[in-house]
Amino acid sequence: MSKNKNKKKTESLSIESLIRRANSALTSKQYKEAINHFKQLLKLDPQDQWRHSLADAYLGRARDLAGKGLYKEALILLENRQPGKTGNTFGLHIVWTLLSGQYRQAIETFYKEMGRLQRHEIDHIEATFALLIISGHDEVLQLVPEGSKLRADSTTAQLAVRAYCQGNDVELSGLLKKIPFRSPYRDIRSILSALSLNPGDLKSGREKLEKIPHGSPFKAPAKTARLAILNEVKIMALEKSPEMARTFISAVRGIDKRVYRSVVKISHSAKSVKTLFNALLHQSAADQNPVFQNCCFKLLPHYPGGIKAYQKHFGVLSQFDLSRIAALSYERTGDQEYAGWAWEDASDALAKQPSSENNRLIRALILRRSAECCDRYGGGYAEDAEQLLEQSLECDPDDLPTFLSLFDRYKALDDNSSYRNCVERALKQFPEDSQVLMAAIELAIERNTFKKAAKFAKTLLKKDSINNRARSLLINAHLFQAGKQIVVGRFDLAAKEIGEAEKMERPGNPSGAIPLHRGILEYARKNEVKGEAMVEQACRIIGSYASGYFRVLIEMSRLKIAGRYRKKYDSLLKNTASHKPDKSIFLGFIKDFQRYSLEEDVDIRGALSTLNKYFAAAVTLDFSRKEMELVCETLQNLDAFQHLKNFAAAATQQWTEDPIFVYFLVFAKTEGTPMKLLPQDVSQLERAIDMAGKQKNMRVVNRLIEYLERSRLFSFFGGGDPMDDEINEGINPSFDSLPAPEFLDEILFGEEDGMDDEITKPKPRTGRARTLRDPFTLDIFDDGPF
Amino acid sequence: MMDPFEILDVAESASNDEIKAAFLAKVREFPPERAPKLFQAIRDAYELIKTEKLKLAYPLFHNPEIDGDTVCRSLLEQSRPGRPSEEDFKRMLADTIPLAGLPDSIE
Repeated sequence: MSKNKNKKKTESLSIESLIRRANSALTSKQYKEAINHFKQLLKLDPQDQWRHSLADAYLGRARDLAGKGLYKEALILLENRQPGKTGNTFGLHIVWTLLSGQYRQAIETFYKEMGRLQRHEIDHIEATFALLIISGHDEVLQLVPEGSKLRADSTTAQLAVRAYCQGNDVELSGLLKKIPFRSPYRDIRSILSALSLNPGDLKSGREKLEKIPHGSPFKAPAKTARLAILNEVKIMALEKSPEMARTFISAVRGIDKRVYRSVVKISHSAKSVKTLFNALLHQSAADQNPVFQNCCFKLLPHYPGGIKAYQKHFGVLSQFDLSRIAALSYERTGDQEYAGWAWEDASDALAKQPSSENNRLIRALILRRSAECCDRYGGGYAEDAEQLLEQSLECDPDDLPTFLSLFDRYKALDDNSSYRNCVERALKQFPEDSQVLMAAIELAIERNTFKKAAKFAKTLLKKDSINNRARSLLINAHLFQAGKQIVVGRFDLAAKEIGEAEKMERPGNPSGAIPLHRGILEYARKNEVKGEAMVEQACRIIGSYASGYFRVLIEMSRLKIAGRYRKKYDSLLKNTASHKPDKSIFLGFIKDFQRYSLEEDVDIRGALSTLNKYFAAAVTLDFSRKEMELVCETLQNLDAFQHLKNFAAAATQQWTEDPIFVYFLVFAKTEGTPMKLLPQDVSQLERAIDMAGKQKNMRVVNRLIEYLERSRLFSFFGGGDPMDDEINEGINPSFDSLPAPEFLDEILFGEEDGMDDEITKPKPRTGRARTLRDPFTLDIFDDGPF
Repeated sequence: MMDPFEILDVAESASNDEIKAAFLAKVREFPPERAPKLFQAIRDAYELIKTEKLKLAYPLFHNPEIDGDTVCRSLLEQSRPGRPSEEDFKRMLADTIPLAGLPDSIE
């Protein structure tokens, strides 16, 4: 009925529409439709071009049928096709005749009419005969004339197949060599050669199979062979393969039927973790393959809901396993706090097991992991992480990164006694490690035990002679000691210390610190001329008179040198720094201020007031963002609010709404006193917090929050800075001893939507509170002696 | 990423020396100029398990995504390559004969 409808539709079309439709159908390979249109066209307007196009459409349709294996039907179309200008289809006719099972007719025609065929057509037809012969169609071989290539190599090719199947690779190799390059059997040679390679040598196998030309009748078996030698069997491809190919691949890969069935079932049920888990449980009931249990176990952190079923099926899990699964599960969901607690539970469970070397190491690893979770939860260093890391060192003291991490933490905490203790333990464990030695040097200098510092520095410099940091620390230590001797009037001892410092300087690379201190020593001895000459020498080495005078001025104030000399250098500095500011000199001042701002007995504000004009003019210099941040940071440390305000304002203009500069600006405006914050300052800081949060800059977020919180606490306590220890001591609310409100318990340990009830929620350790800490510390001793 | 023990082809109980030897053998087999990706994978695998602590930490903290393919791969890894029977080979070839009739090179 639909045919009639189509016919009627076509009949009613104009010639132009018919031409358009016919050509369109032909180009879009709608051959059946094209045949109808061209037939119609020929009826209406019998032209040669329609005849040729009709022939093309018939050929296309015949190819379609051949593609479905309907060679007999394809042959009928080919034979009834009107002759067109589409070339010779004789070769195709022979192939299809052969493939339709009419072997005798095909072979006779081929050998009789070979002259009508082109070389590549002959090759293809012979290869098709070869494929039929190797696949067991003996009748084809019998019809092939004596003395033909097909007969000559058939036995060798068949024996090669047998040798491969029997695993006789030596014989196979010999047989394959006997098949000539021009033989119709050459493609089976490539296939057998690829299959006999070592399993996993995919590259060579692939290269051999790629030698088979695209149109070859052996291309389809080559595809099957490729699947068989793939490193990973693509189950979907295997499933889609015909049964014979699948049997062949399974045999080559050694996949038994039970495994294949499991694989297919699992690949179909792997739509979600839950369905996959259940499918694995189901399969394991039928097949005791340990892979199922192993995979189920690995799936538990992804699907903790399966714990009950797992235990029912495979046996009870240990407390350690349960805690580990919980921890991994919480890590997956980003709940670092619970993850940390669960790791601690795992560590406790392990501690109850018999002690062994591995057991202790695993505990240490787990405790370190728990510390990482604390840090991640806290957005920086978390307080209880130190405790965990210390515990981990009890289990495994041979872990340098843990010691180094603890150094940083104790420094950030200002916990000097723990820091000292930790460095001493690290030194026992790693007496020659440069980082540990460096920490030991710093500590010894801090405790004024210069001999110890020198001993450590020498050990370090023996190992690492270009360690400038160690060298400059030691030089500074000697110079500091010299300064102390100058103050008490022991000038000879001071000279000796300066001499020791000089010995430590790298030859040919003087820093200027030695003549500078010698100059000050001479001033202390009232040798003004000698002193001046030494200071001049120091300035030349430093490369800046301004910087040199500045340092002399500061050192003189520290070492209590007579006021008239100080006045002299104050005026010299004022004169030198009255010129147009220079960026490198200005940044040199900033670094000097940074160094000296940590020292006591130094008149740093006096020096700053001398440089007031210079600093005011320097705001116009072109700084990078990093340099500007350093400048603001230093000015903040110096409480130089006016300068800070100028620089921060310039910075916020250049880096609009950069949170750290907004902070500096507000800090300067309120002169570092949170109680002076105005509502517009608060909203400015809040915007900056949002911005820093978006930039994931937790250091700045914490800093801004702290400033804001101080202002809020101030209001809460009704006056006085809440950071003031005295106020805190007075209040002493003992928050730790207060009972937790019930609602807090609920939030912490209550049921949450979507949480699996299989995991028992870990609980925090008593007295633990996650606090944020700023890990940022300025390293100011990197620039050599001063 | 694949299991580092699998990449280096060593047992989980292998000693540090065995792991190092396996790593060096793999690097010799797949030098960076010939197989850069594989070389990188081998190096990454070695970095993950080269010390006693790392070797212990890997199975402890590694929490890989597991899907059907992973399970199937584990199952298939148990199989041992073999040879088909001559009959199966011929049947596989015969099965492809109907596909041999559409040579592009023949009109």
